[in-house]
Amino acid sequence: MEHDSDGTLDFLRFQTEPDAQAYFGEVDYFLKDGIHIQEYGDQIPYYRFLKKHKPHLEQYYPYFYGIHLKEENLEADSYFFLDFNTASRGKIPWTYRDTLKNEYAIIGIITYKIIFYEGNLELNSISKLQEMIRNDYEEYKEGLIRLLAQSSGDIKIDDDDERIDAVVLNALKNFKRLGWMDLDQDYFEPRTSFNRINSVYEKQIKDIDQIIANYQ
Amino acid sequence: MNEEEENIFNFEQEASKPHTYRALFPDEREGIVIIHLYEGIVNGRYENNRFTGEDIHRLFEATMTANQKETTYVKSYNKDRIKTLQKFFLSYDEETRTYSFQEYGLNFCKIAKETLEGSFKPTRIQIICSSLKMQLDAALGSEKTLKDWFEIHFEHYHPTLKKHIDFLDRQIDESVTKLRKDTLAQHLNPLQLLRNVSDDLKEVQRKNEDLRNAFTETNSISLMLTEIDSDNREILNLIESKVQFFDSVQSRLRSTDRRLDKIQPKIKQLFAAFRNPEYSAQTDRFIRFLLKYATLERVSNYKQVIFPKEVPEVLLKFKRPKYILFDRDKDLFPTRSKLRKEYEPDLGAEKENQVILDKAFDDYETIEDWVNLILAELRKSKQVNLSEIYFKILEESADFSIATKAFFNVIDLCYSKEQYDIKIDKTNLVKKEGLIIWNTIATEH
Repeated sequence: MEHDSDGTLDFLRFQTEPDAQAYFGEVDYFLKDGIHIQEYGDQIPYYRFLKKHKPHLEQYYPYFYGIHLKEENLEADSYFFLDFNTASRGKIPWTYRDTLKNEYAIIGIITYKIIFYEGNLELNSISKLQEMIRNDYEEYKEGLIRLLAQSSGDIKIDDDDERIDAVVLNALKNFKRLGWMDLDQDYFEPRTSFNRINSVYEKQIKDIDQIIANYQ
Repeated sequence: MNEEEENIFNFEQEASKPHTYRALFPDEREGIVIIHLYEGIVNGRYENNRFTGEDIHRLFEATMTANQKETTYVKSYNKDRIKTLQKFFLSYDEETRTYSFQEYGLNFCKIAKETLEGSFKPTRIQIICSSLKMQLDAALGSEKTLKDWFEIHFEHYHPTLKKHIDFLDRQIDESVTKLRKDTLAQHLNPLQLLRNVSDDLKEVQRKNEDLRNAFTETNSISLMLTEIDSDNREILNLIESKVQFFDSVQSRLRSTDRRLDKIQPKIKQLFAAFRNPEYSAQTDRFIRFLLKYATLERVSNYKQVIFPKEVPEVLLKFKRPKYILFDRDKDLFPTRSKLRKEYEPDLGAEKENQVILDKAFDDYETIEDWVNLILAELRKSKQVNLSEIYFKILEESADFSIATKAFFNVIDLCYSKEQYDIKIDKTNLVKKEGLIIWNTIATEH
């Protein structure tokens, strides 16, 4: 580790900058809370702070916490987050870690697919999204009912649809907390960091045929 | 029915009448013929902008299939159609035996053409806005000219202003539709299509910017309108509706910008997705895999979705550490009472006031003494000259108010008691040291 002449860690120098006093305390808390920071809305000053001190912060987090600060989607639409998943030797006690519920992850991938791979670029209505997930994907329906509505799926009742809707809504609320989306009543608008739901499973998606082969 | 009611024109009712709607909005075949005629006129194909019945019949025949042309009724059938068109679209001149367009027919085609063509001319908007502003400036003088501005100048340009904005939104709609899965899939080179759409949208954004600049003048028109001071309800309503129109124009332009701002980053992500065309299909298989092989497990009271071992859970955050905040309970620890402010006594003022008070008491006693003395004298001599006594008191006490109060107290007392009597002789004046008093004598019976 690099030390400067005072014997202090070189990358800690960002803390002596005036903007660190203004932003670091909060942005550190946001990042640890799982929030993704992009150049958008009230996140802009934090994003710029991260962009400016990126080289130092990229050393700071692994050194003290064993987790990595990452910037994805390089270019103008990038976003920052703390990647807890690479932290095999992470120093954050397990009791303080939290996972995204798997049912929300499923909804996230399906929503991402609907918007991007199917070109519904202007889909902004939660109720419309719920309707699409419920009705437009016959091949997903059985699994959604089994996992999300947590019932057998042999008999289709309204109740299942309502439960699926509720899971979709809760998923979006969680995404909002992560900074992935804007949400206002029936309106939702994914931010660039919603791409994270895609990138986090990138490896598995690329290897999916191989994985499926093991199950046959 | 009064006159006013008679004058109300009901468009809905009028247009719903059996033949009227049909004559206003021709069916497809008639419409196509009309459009051909219109284009013929625009391109100067007809002499004097007039055409013959034969011209029209030929155009009708051109819209028909060979089979349809076989029937012998074609001509008379089309004749009926031409007759219908004569109501609003065409007029027939018996002298020259030619047809020409009616105004409605011309406008009908003109609007349809402009809408499809999407003639986008921000410079024209700019000119319209500046001339509207100038005309409004000139019209400000009287309510009549102002009304003319609303009803003639403004109404004239209104469709042009609106059309430009509609046009941009329609362009975005079209671009976005091209990116739908089905359209993309059919396209030979989807990446190229994506690139085209992206360029189209950039173009729309530039146009929107131009349009915003062109509409800047409307801000000052709005301002001029809101500053108009009028009691005329009609004028006020017109002002309100036009200001609202300009506001809506501005907000439409803003929302077009916002719409584009939201679409563009997503298009960038689409580009990324298209670099690996397999990825979209793989994602679909991944979703199906999860839905098929994920299991439900009961963890404490809830069933949880557990992914197959190949798929890791997503660790996303710290659980929020609980910061314990100490907050002082105001009821348990009431705020300390404020120090009472002590005031230094002003000894000088106190002394002065004491002197005044003492004198008031002394005076009171002095007056009492005098009154008693006078009454005793009255009992003894049965008669007392109060005027003389007044001057005696004044002389001894050297205090005008003591003498006066004693004097009046005695008079007051003598009036209220029967055994006394007061005689005031207004002809006999007692004078002393500049004071004059009527001769006043008290007696006891």
